[in-house]
This record gives sequence, structure tokens and C-alpha cells, in this order.
Amino acid sequence: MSRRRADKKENEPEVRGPNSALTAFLREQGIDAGAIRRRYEQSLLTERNEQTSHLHEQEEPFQENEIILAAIEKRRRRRTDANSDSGYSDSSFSSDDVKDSHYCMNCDREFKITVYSKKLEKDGKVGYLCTECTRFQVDQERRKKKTAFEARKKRKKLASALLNRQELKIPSLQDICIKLLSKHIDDVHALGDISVVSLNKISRILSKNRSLNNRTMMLFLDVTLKHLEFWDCSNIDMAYLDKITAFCPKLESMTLNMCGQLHNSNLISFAQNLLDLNSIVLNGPFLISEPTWVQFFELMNARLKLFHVSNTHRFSGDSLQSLLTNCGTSLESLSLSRLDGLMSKAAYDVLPYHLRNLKHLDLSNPFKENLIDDNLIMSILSVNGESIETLLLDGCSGLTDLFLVKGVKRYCSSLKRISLESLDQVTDSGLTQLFGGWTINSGLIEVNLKRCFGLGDRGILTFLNHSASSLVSLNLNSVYSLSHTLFQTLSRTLKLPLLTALDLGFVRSVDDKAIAILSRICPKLKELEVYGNNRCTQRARIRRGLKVLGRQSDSI
Amino acid sequence: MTKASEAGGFIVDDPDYKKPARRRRAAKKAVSYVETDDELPPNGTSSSKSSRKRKVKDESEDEEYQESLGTDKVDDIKPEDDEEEDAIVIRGTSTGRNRPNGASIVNAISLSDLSDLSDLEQNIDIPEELEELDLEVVEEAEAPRPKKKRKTPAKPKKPRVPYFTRVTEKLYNIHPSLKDVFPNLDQHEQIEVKKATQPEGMTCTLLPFQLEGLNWLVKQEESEFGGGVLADEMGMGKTIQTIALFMHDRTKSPNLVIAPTVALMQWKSEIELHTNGILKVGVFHGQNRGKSAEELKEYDVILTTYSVLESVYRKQNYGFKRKRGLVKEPSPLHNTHFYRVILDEAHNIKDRQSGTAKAANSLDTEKRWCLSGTPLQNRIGEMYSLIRFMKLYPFCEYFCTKCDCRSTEWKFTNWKCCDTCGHTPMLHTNFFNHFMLKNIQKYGVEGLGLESFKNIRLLLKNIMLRRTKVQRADDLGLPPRIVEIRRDRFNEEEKDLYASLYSDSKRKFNDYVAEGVVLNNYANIFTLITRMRQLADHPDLVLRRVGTNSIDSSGMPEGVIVCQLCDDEAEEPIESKCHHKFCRLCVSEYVEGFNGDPNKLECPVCHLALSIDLEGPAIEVDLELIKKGSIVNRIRMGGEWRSSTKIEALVEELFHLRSDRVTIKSIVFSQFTSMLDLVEWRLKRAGFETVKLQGSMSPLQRESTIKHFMETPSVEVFLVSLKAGGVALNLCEASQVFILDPWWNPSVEWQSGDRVHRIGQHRPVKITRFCIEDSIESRIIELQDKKANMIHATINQDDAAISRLTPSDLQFLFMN
Repeated sequence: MSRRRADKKENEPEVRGPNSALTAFLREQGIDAGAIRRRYEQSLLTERNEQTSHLHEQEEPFQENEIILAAIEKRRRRRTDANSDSGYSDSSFSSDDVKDSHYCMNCDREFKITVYSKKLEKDGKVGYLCTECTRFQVDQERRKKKTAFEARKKRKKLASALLNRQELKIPSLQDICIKLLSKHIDDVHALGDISVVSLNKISRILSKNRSLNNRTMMLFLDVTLKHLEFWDCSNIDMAYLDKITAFCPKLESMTLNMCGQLHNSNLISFAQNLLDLNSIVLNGPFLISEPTWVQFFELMNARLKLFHVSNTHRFSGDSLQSLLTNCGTSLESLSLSRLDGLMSKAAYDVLPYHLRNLKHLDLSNPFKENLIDDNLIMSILSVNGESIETLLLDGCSGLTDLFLVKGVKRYCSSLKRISLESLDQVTDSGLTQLFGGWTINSGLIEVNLKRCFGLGDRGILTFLNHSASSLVSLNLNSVYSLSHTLFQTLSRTLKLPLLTALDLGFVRSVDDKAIAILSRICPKLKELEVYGNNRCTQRARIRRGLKVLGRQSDSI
Repeated sequence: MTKASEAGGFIVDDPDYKKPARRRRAAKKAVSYVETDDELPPNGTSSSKSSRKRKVKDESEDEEYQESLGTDKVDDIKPEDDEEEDAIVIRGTSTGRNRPNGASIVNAISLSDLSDLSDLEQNIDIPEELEELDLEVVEEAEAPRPKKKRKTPAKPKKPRVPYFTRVTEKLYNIHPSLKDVFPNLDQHEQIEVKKATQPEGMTCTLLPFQLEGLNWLVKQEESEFGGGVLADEMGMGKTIQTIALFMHDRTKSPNLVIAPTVALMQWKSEIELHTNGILKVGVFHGQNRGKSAEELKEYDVILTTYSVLESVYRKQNYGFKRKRGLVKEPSPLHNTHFYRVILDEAHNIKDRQSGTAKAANSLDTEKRWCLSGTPLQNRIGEMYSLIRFMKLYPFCEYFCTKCDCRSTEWKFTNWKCCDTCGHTPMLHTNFFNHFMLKNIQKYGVEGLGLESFKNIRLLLKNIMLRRTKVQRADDLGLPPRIVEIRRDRFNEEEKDLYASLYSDSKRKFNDYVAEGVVLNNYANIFTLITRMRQLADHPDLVLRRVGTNSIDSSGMPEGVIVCQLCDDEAEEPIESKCHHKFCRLCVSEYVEGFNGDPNKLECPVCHLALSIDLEGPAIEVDLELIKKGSIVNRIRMGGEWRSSTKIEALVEELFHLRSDRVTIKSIVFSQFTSMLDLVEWRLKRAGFETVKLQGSMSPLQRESTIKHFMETPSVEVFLVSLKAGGVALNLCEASQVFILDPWWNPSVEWQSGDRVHRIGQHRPVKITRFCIEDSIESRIIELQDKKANMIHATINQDDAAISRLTPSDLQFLFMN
């Protein structure tokens, strides 16, 4: 180990004279001329002892000592003699060293000690190893170190793979090709005939590498293309966004994420030239002004079926009014998320009058919590209740139990996905009332109850009883009041056959036992998030195929 | 008359005479009034009165006593006693750290709320304020102090003309030209708003408002003011407009740019980027900067930092110690004639008595510019330093009320009388203080104060250009900015620990309250609060502080060297030239795995060229090093370490930003560098690639670190300490900001958000502030909201009260 302690240093005298490299090396190896001599004398002594012990058993020790001293004296004399008569002759040395032979600590072979001999401590005895044993030992240590090093690196790789929700396995040939292609994308002139799936994969990787730009985007444009998705358009400028209309006239759906460079003229040209366009998803189109939105909706008219917009402050009440009057009746999917320009309640209040057969509704994160209230949601649901499948109301913290009990429960027969993140006014009893005897709905698939602080064991249990057989994804992050009892009850009463993703971050009652229970009762569970639950450790018993994310012990 | 003889003249037998000046009260009791009356030297009055103004701090108590008595009528002793008491208490605050009703003394107003209420930038940095308090009082002592303390209701007064009016009249009589200053300013033609043409050679297209700004800059430079303040809000391209000014007329050079160290390299790269290298840029910084003025003349633009400026000035004027004694070295900067000097982040010279301000003032130049997003951070007085730098006459001058003497310097070499006219300091007044500052401090924005305030605005209208992002939102095309607070709760273990610390702190605080010494223990209370805030971050910040590392039972010091590649205990640690430590194996592998130009091999931590001896001897664990080094060296490795709620919350947030189709980069801010060390270690172990910016890094290291973050897609997290990276950083590749610990004042947090919310940002910006709900942090946030509301509710409110923590605020923090 390299953990040399500082206190060792402290015991040594600080000031030393000049040293040669050899001296430093010998000291570091623990070799010291005095020690070697002492050791030799010691061995001489024991040898003598053994030889003489049975001969002169009664002899006094002091005499024995005398003999040894005499022997040493004799040797010293001989050495000086040898030195004096024949300059520097090694003969005396070697003859000494032959005598100075050791027995290997490992194999008990007799050997000559050299500076390379390994010192070993074994069973309380200190000794040296013979040349071969030394070599073996050194080899072994090196290997050990290497494996430890590999293990370290592997742990890091594992951690980053966990982060990417991937498993550390050998990638498919296709994936390798795609990866290589996207690495050298700057040298690619045409992608040729590649399947749409692969194209999408490449496009995603390029977005992730931030290399989707004016040049590379052209590779994806094709006359026959019907669906287009760019996940990071921040490096594509106005002129090139216009080329989409020129190159892909048959486009039906378009997804532009992070489109901070999408200008007014681009949007208008989309509406004018892409005649088949019926669904558009825009995230962050903050350069589009209010009049342009109005003009866009007038041009799109009844064509527009899906409209998702988020992260802009220029989408105002007038824009929304225009959207609803022009396209309201045909809209099937509407998402208005993080629109700081929608500041009046009146703008939202007209929603129920225009929307007829909505399947997907997302009103998450309004500018203020009082913009969206129970009455609004209830009246929207009373019209669209039968068709609605997805209801996303994250951060609409003005909502209470009322809309669940009087709205969702009464109208939503085909609801599949619901998201109620950060609705702190929703209580345990509200959830119990909703799911207790909700017969018109056969079960939810995706439920997000993140940060609904008001919920407790009873509500969650009622809900799970209702949707256990259909539930695929569940988020209970930061629902603090869940207790051990919940998991115990679940363990004994329920099975969640389809559940694949579960988030239990910051639910402090989740521990090793809870993980083991979940691992057992959810046979399809793949991802379990337990961030912030410090009682989840390496010791938890987990089924193969289940990834537990956010355990501290995985990375520390 | 010398001080000794003056004192000796009347209290020879005073036992306290030889005691230090701090014990004024004791001295006062020892003196009998009758004695003083009898022995008062008749001529001691005027000179001692004036001396008080200058040397508040180092006077001996008896002299002070004498002079203050001397200024008053001798026959009215009894009420004077109380007066005297007051005066001494007030002066006591200047030296001590306590300040009962501190607001009444300093009574500062931030101009920003009046000129532009929406972006009030006040700074509630408490320790700094305490420092500034001293300066403030010294300043008051210099300028003629209005005799506020004489106005006691107990004393019947004859009606008289107020001091202010008297001085104004005298000034106008003796300096008739001053009468016209403000009317002239009012008449002064405003520069009309017009777009300039794009300067030739600029590679980037200027935005409309930037062209307007350029027009203003050119016109303003030609006007009588010869410069001004460009105070556009952060992220609106002050740098670009300045570069455009350089390019507008390239014959006018050399230019000197003085910037904070962080921004130095950014200036260089921006100039090179936007001008295609037409301008020759020289950096005057670091050990091997040029020594002669000649070298500087070769460049069009010279970049330097405030600290270098101060240092060369000091070496020129005061010299520095070498073996052979005091050596003076001519300053290349002060011996070069510049066409224009630009102070970036000009509030660096807000303290006009600092060496930096003096060094900036004595530069030889024709045009002077200040750039600052926050021209006024705390008080109007700060504006004065900029006015002095820009040499705006008569605003920066001192005038004598007895004769036509005027000067920019306070020249009283013998502390008694003016070097030019011989009148006493009392008779001299500063134009800015008199007409613009004092009345606001005295009355707030009412009556005379309002008039002064109008004067200030009038001046600013003529020398300052300020546009805000809100005004120019359409030109800028900035994304919306969303601010969210993420609230979390402690887990049980943390809660226990926090509760014990809290009850301890609360008891101490209550003790202070009971004894009535809250204000005397400001620093102590602050330490208590800081501990609690650190505990909310991670318990190790409190338990394993620098210097308190315990030696565990085995007698071995805890601590290891951590390899900065594998983030584990280092095997055979070796150190690179840039003082980063790695396992020998890790770094060997790193070096071997690098296939490219070997000259481009960079250190994996600071991204400078790597230089390391792979065969060198392994370094040993040094107890000293561990104590001083990063907190990561002091934590328990080997799986025993526990993370905290806040760190895990951050990891979770970052994890949720991960996706297979888009890279979202984030900046993480914290005030505690140890917290950043911990977070960095945790994130790296979890598989994130991070970079970190610290105050201790050299400009080159900063530049390469920033570049690495901006150019490598896989580096997702940038860790910055709030102090080091709060200003002058352009990180628009990132679009998320995480602020780990709430700061007292929201504006510092707004600023950190501005690192990403600026021109060039095309992604939606989100700022997440972390807060542990059951800790002091939630109260800090409440306090912030309270203050923000107060600012918005009352326009004419003296915001000095808002900008610092009052005793009731402290009480609130400790309330249950």
C-alpha cells in the first residue's frame, strides 16, 4: 500500500546529510548494511548454538559468546589481510556470502540473498524469498493491482451506464455503425438508403452531441419524408429551417425541440407550404410573436390536429383565442406548458367552449396557480371526458380534490395517463374517493403523483387496488408520508404484473426490505429510482434485470 | 500648537491620559468640567475643531473632549453634557463593530431603485458592510459635517438659516460659475437616439440597440464629458459595443481595458473573434508582463486587471521592499499616454480611497469610460468614485467657501489648513457631497433630498446610458427565464443533527437577546447562521471543517490523497506541474490513451498543457496538506461516506435532464467551495463529467476550463462558486442553473442566472434554487421575499434598511 503515514516521517530526524541515489534506494528497500551484518552474526550464533548445543550442553553462555566473538574477530582480521595483500578481492566476500545463505520463506529452498529478494512476513517470522518465489510474488502483486484498477474503471463505466439507463453489454453491429457514422458526420455527404428507424437514431445522437447544424440537418431532409423530429435545433438558423418546406413538401408531423432560432417567417412558411401538416410540436419558440401565432392559426385552420407548445413568453391570450376559434373543434391533442404570456384567467376560461374531442390535454406549469381551477378542468372534462386519454396538470397547484371527485371520476372513462405533479392541495381522502369504486374506468397505465405532499398510504393503496393490473409507470417521488406499512400490505395483497418504471425518490421509508418486496411483486419492473433514500444499500436483494437508480452505494 | 502641549495645558494630572484612545468615556468621567472651563486656552477653539474632522480615529480622548467643548458656548454646561454623550457614542460606532440604529448614520440610498426600480442591485454582504461603515464615517469626517447633533429639543434655539443654504450661498458668492452648473446640465443637448453604421471589419452583426449604443458612445466621447458610463444590463453586449467603438475609428489608439481577472481572457478572445484580428491585443498580466512603456505602444488594445493596475501604481509611488531597501519602479501603464481607458465592471473602484481607484484616477488618457451592469451596488456615494475617475468638473472638486480655491484633491498635508488657500478643512466642501449626496442621506428622497436626487438624475442622464433586457426584449430575442424553488426535507439522521445544532445556536442567540447585545455579537451570530446553512448542505461542511480534522482512535490522521481521474483513494499518487494528483496507473493510462498531437495533451482537471513525471517518486500523505486541502481528502473513503439530501436532490435533477436525444448543460452555484468539492466528487463518481471554476485559478486555467465546457458536449456540469463566477462569465452553452444555497439577497442570484440568460442563448432557461424546508434556508427565502415585496411596495423607501439584516430579521431567523 502506498498509504505511507506522515507520522512515520515525523519520527525520523529531519536533517540529513547528502545521499547518493543508491543509499536512498537501499533505504527505501529496507536494506541496511548494519542490519545485514547483524543478521549474519545472529545466524552464525544460532548455527553455532545448534552444533554445539548437544556437545557442550553445560557450557556457560558467556563462554559461548567468547567463541563467537573470537570467530568474528578472526574473520575481520582475515578480511583486512585479504584486502591488504591482493587489492580488492572478492573472494573473501563471496565465501562469506555463500555461508550467508538463506532458506526461502515459501519453498524452504536454500538461496543467495540479493537486493531483489523480497522480504516477507509470515506467521510472525520475517524472512526473504528465493529468486523464483520473488518473481512469482511480484507478478501476483502486479496482477492484483491491475484487477483492482480495472475494477475501479469498471465501476465508473457502470455508474455512467446506469445514468444513461443502459446496461453494460456489447452493442449491436448496427449501433456501432451508427455511432461511427455520427462521429464522422462532417465527412458524410449523403446518407443514402437508410431505414427511417436508423435515421431517427442518427438524428438523436447528433442532437445529443450538439452537432446537428445547418449542414448535417440537410442529410435528413427527403422528399418522401412524413415525420420529422429534430431534438436540438439551437444550431440551425433561420435560412436552413426554411429549407424544410422546400425539401419535404409531404411532411405531416413535425417536432422541433429547442427551436430558439425559429423566426416568424419560418412558421408562416410552414403553414403555407406544408399542406399535409397536421401536427406540430414546438419547444421554446420564443421568437415567434403574437401576430404570427394568430396568422399561423388562421392559415392552419381545421387542418391542425395536434398542437404542442412550451417555453415561450410570447404566446398570449390573443394567440390562444385565435387557436381555439380557428382550430378548436378539430384539435385532438393540445399542450400549453410554461407559457408565461398567458397571464389572464379569461384566456383559459374559454377552453371548454371550443374543445370537443380532445384526447390529450396538457396544461402544466401555468404562469400563476390561480389561472387554472377546479371549475375549468371540470367543464373541460364534461365536454371531452369520453375521449380524453391523457391529462397532464403538473404544477397547477390551484387544483383541489374537487376536480378529481366531481370531474375525473364522473367523466373520464377512457383515461389512461394522468400527471398531477406538485398538486399540494390534493389529499389522501380525495384520492381514496376517486379510486374507490371508479367503475367506468378500467385502470390507468401511467400515473405521476410526484410531490403531492398530501397523499398517504390509504389513498395510494386504493389507487393501486384499482389500477394494479394495468399500471406500467408510477411516480411517487417525494410523497413523504408513505410508510413501511404500505409496502408490507402490498407485499401480502397485491401484484403489479405490468409495472416497469417506478420512482420512489425521497420517500424515506423505502429501505432494503421495501426494494426486495417490490422486486418480488413487480415481475416486469425494470427501473426503480430511489434517490435520497439513504437506507437503500448494496445489501438489498434484487431480481436480475431490475435496475435500481440513485443508490449511493452504487457509486461511492 | 502641538497636540501634547494642548493636552498638557489643561489636564496634567489626568490618570487616564496615557491610556489608548478607545477609552473615551472613562476619560471623560475623570475630567471635571469646572477645571476645563478655567483652563481652556482661548485660541484652541478653531484649530481643534477642525482637527476633529480629520482624525476621528487616532485622536487622544482629552483633545477630542476639549475641542467639542470648545466649539460650544462655555456658559451652557449642563445640557451640553448630554450632547457630549451623544457625540461620543456616534463616534464610537465608527471604530467599534456595533451600531445602534446604524441606518441613521449611514443612511444610504441605492440610486438604482430610483432610477430603475425593477433591477435593484443591493448587496447584503454583511461583513463587507461593516467595513464600509468605517469608510463612510471617515468620509463624513472629511467633508464638512452638518451639525446634526446640536439640534436638541431641550435647547431653545433662535431661528437660523439652515447650514445647507448658508454653504450654498457662500459657494455661489465665491464661485459664481457654480450657479449655472445644473441649469446648464438641464439645457445640455441630449444625444439623439440614432443607429450608427456597422463599423468596418466587425465580423458579427450588431443588434439594433447595440448600434444605437455605438452612436451614443461616439457622440458622448466627442462631447465635453469625454466619456461616460455604459450601464446596460448584464448580457446585452457591453463588450461588443466597446469593441465596436474601437473599430469605429481605428486611428485612435492605444486603448486600455481594465477588467476583472475572470473576464480578461474573454475580452481577448472576443476582440480577436469579432475583429478578425485587425486590432493588436496585448495582455498586461502575469509574471512576464512587459516592463517598459515602449512595448505597450505597439498594441491597439491593452488588457489588464485591476490588481495589476493597483500593483504597478503602488510600486511606482510607494515602492516595494527588496534586500537593498525600498525600490521604486516606474509603472508602464502610468507612463503611457492612452487615447481611451475603459473600466469593465467599474464598480471595482467603488471605494474611492482604495489603491485601485487612485491608480485608475492617475492614468494618463483623453477619454474615460466605465462599463457596469450594476453601476450602484449599495449607495450613491459609490457613484462619486466613478465621477472622480471620469474627471467630471465641478462634480469631483472641493471648493473653499471663503475664497476661489478649488481642487480635485483633498490637499491638507499638515492636517490643519489647505495647501493652496490656507483655510481650514471645515471651510472646504465637495460639490458632489454638498449638492447631491448629503441631503439624500439626511432626508431621504423628500424636500431637499428630492432636489439633490434630481441633481443626480440630471447628471446621470447626461453621462450614463442604460437599457434593460425588458426594454429591448424584442431586439435581444432572449428566451423566457423560469425560476423555481425545489423544496426538500431532511432525512431523519440529518434532522437530528440539525436539531441539535439549531437548539444550541438558538440558545446562544437568546442569551444575546436577553443581555441586549445582539448587535455587539453580529459576527458571532453570523457564524452560527453560517453553520446552520452549511449543515443544510452537507454535515461534513461543519464536522470536517478545515483545521478541525480529528485524529481517530488508532492515532492515525484521517485523510487520503484522492486521484482526480478515478476519484478514489490514489494508489501511488503522483503530482502534475499544475498541482493535481493522480494514481500513477490512471494518469499513465490517460497519457497512453491520448492519440493526437502530444503537444495538445491537457490536464484532465484544469485543461492546461499537461506536464507530469510519470516515473517520479510517489508523494506522501502530508497531514498539513490534508488539513488545508479539499474536503474530499478528509472524508471517509471505502463506502462509509453518506451523501446529503441536497446533494442527492441535485444528482436526481441532473439525472432527469439526461436523455438519449438531447444534451442539456447545467451550471451549479454554491457559496461554499467545500460544498462544490463534495458535489464534484459525488457527481464524478456517479458518472457525470464536470468542470469546476474556483477563485484560485489563473486566468489561463479559467479560460481553458470554460472553453472545455463550452466545446465538449459530454461535459454536462459546470461548478462555480458564487463569488468567483458570479460576474463576467458567458456560459450560454448551458441552459440550466442550479443554486444550491440561498443567498440573503435575491439580486446576487439573479446575476448568477444572467450567466446563461444572455445573447446567444437559444434554449429555454430554467433556474432551480434548492431549499431544505425544515432548516434555516426556508426562512432565508421568506426573508428574501419579504424584502423584495418591500422594495416593490414602497418607492421612496430608504432601502438601506432593506439591504441589511436588522435585529428583527435575526429574530425571525431564530423564531420557531
